[in-house]
Amino acid sequence: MGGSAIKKKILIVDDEDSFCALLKLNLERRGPFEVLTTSNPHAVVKLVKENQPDLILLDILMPEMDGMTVAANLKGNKDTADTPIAFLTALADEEEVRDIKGKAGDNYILSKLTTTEELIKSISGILGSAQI
Amino acid sequence: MNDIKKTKEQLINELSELHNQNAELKKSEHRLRASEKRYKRFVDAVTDCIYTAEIVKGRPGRITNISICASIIGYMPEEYLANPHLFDEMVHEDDRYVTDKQVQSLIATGSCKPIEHRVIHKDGSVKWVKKTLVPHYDETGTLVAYDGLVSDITRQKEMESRLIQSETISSLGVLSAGVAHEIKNPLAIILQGIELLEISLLKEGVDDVLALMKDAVFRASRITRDLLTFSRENTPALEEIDLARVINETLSLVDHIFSLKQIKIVRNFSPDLPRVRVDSNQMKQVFINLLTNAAEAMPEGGTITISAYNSQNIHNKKILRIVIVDTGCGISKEDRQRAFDPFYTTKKKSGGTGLGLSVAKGIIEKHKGDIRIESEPGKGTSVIIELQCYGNKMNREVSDGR
Repeated sequence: MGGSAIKKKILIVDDEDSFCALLKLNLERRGPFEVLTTSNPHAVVKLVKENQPDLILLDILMPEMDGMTVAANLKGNKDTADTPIAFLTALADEEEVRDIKGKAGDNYILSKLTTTEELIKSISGILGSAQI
Repeated sequence: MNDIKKTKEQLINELSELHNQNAELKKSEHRLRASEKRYKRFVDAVTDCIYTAEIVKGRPGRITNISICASIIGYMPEEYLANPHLFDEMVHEDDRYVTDKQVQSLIATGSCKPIEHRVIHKDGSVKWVKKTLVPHYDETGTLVAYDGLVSDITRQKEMESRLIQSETISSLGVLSAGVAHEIKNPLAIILQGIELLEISLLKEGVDDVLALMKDAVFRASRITRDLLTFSRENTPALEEIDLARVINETLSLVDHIFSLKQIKIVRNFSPDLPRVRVDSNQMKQVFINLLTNAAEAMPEGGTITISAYNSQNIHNKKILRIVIVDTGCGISKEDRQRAFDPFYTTKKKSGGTGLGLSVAKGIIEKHKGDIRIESEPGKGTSVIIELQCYGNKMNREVSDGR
């Protein structure tokens, strides 16, 4: 991570407002992150266009529109196609992970139920490889 | 003179009558013997056990007659006749009240309902039997004995309990899949809350509390994960494979954890293993669960031996038998009986969910295989899996590109 003063911008998309708010606080307090959140999957493309985040943490199971569709919308738009996406999923039984991996394409998959420290490690890894 | 002649004639007649009667009696006796023989042959031929016990002064007495019923209880008729208490002694300790009550009811009222109870076979195994009693009166109408019919219902009982278990499992499955999905999100929120408190509060002692709370969240999360695996009703995606390969792949997944824990793995695969039709992912899940259990039984380290070889089951069918033996703490009889029950765990403190073996059993049964445990406290545990083979022809090598 180093002592970079430049904060990485992360957009969290999750239908649970309280999860968004708490994860935002955890990430901002522990790492060089500026975190935006939304619980409205329809607003994601517009938000990404306007804010150009370095990474999108995207929930999969959302009642209004599932994460896979949101990802497809982002990939289908030239202004948002290059923003890395990490699916943030609560379910990690092996079969489901296999299933999600099959659908996730080039996108990353992270578990919702790990410590923030672990999550930050994974995020740093993604941001590092995304910059190459 | 006339009188003498008359008497003589009468005597001759009576003699001839007597003669006839005697012949008739002999015939009857012969018929009776034949009938008795037939009855004995019949009684000895039935697989059920038929016996007669006397009733003396209103109390059950000794066994006076018993058919050869070695297949049910293992003892020969002579052994019962020599030891009058044997018949009562072989009744399972917890069922003696029921059997006593049946006889008492017969003596008191002249009738009783058939009962089901357990007996201990001569070889020590437990068998379930159904017992029916029929009263036997003498010519004065006094109850002097009763006939008993004992049928082996062990298989029926096993199937009943399996049915009950599979019904519990399937209704649990539907519910748990939904619950597992719904619970993970609130858990994620609680976890984030705890994480935030960890960096916001600096009071001493609170850290420990937060760590405990976090452990609880991870435990709940593991339960939902296992529940989900458990609830999947997917029929296995069968492919014909070399099971040794699946076991080796599973071992490579757990290898590093085992070497850290001083656990040695011994592989003992016979070279001519037949290919089996299994879902390799599901089988990996089975082996991970069993190996994890074995490792947890050996906190100080030890050896896990995995053997795989050709064998035959009781129906003379070719099977592949896989035996996983550990040198761990072993399992008590009570725990062993409930080991496959969902949510039954002896490892709650260390995060056990009680679903590992249920999942393994579910998967093996979906493959029409069999899984069982042999263990004694202090003497390690063996888990035995038997899978059907489909001939040992090493069919055209199916290259699936992996």
